[in-house]
Amino acid sequence: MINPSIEKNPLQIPEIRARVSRLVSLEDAISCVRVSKAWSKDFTSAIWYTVDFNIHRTFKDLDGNIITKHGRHIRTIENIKTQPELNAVLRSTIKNQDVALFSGPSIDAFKHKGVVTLLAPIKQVFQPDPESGLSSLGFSLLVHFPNLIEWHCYNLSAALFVPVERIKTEVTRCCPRVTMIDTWKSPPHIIHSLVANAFYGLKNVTFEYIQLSMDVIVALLFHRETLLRVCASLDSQCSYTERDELPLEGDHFQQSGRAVQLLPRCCPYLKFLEFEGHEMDMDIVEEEEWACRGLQQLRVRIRGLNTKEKVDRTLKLWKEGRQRKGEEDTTFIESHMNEAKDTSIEARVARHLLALEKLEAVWLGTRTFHA
Amino acid sequence: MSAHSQILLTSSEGTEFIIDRDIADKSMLLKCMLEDIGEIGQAVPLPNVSGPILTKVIEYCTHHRDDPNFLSANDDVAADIDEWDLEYCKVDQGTLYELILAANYLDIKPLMDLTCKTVANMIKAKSPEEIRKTFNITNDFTPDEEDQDWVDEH
Repeated sequence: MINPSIEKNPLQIPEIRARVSRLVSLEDAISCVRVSKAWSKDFTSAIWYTVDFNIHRTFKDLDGNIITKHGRHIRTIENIKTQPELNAVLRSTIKNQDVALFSGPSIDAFKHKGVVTLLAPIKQVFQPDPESGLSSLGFSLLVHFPNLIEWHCYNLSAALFVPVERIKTEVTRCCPRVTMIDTWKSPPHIIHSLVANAFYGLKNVTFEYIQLSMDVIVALLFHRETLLRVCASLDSQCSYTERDELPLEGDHFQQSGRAVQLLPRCCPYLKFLEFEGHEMDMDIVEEEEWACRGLQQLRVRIRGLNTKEKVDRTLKLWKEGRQRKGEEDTTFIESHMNEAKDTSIEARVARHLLALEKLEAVWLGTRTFHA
Repeated sequence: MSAHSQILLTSSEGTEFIIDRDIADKSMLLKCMLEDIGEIGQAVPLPNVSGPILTKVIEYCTHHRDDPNFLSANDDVAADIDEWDLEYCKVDQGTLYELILAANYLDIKPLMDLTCKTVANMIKAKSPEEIRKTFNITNDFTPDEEDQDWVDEH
């Protein structure tokens, strides 16, 4: 004999209806919502649970009221491909729920065509949402900036956040016009990795002088045919390089100073060479001619030019030499200088500077001198 | 054969059933109860389950006794029901209803899934009116409420 208390239709129990609703097909769910009011409630969520743009092509055209009424049931949205579809999905009722968005592989990402400068570390670019895992499809913020030219792309930890090949692929694919990078405080091997392997045809590279190493110089030389500016900046907190006195400063790269000369010797188009943390040795400088005949600005300290007076004298000699050049025949100037046989450090530096005919501004430790 | 401890169950009519402990553990309700109380000499009363239904439920649990996937949630809607399970569900609607209720009460998820899937198959391709007839449901919509064109998104 059946106990009367269980003579009940289990489908009258909402939990059981809800369980069945997860097992029916979409078509059947649509039939079910028409059965009765109670059924309507439980089967509605089954209809709206997953929106797949591959199947529900007219979803984005649905009336706003309808989405407002039922959007709260949406939990999964798949195969978003275009901006209008994304907009349809970003309505407030849907946004407030815990909805998972899955975009198809060909998402037509919104492109900001006007952005030319980006300041964002590698980590942020490749994992824009820190909560989510690293996308295996390989999308990065770079996809939004096709006209990017300048990227302040630092990576402060010891290992690159993503493999350098990945960075290279993204840069090549999304923003091939990047020609200026600034690695800020990134360590030497990171600089090397990025400069040597992630970018092509760089024109402008900035990094922190304290991070300079042989690897960095080698990496820079890969871009010798395109480099216009190399800037080894001092600690960003130091804005004291324009000063009246010449303080005694060390140079961590002194032992390998010779290597720094490779830059002006091998980069023929270099216009700006900024190495304020470095102290050049004129003996080494004079070993070989600098190829960058178009150099416009030089910022470096010179070994031996260790007082303000010496620096001032050097700049004066340079200035005078330029004026004479403007007025008279060049051959006369050269012989004049050779006659003097002035082997003082000031004269040697001035001779070197005069050879660079396009030079407009020089900093030798105190203040920038403009010709 | 290892010695399983045994459990005594009593149906709503008072019929007694002796089953092995591991079969009883398929029901989360019984499992938790037995873990909390430990071995009890007395029978566990099940006032909500009749003898015939309890027999059916035990039959299901015994058949799936060694099934490794039994306790892991199978939410794969598209997975086909295996043959034995299909035959098992070939019962009249009243029995099917009682099985659902028993599986719900005893908290045996795989049996819930199976019986609900069976219901889902009964709904398949039916119109609302046909569904109402099958499950004996009253239409409580007013005529203009029935007109829900938002459903045409499909």
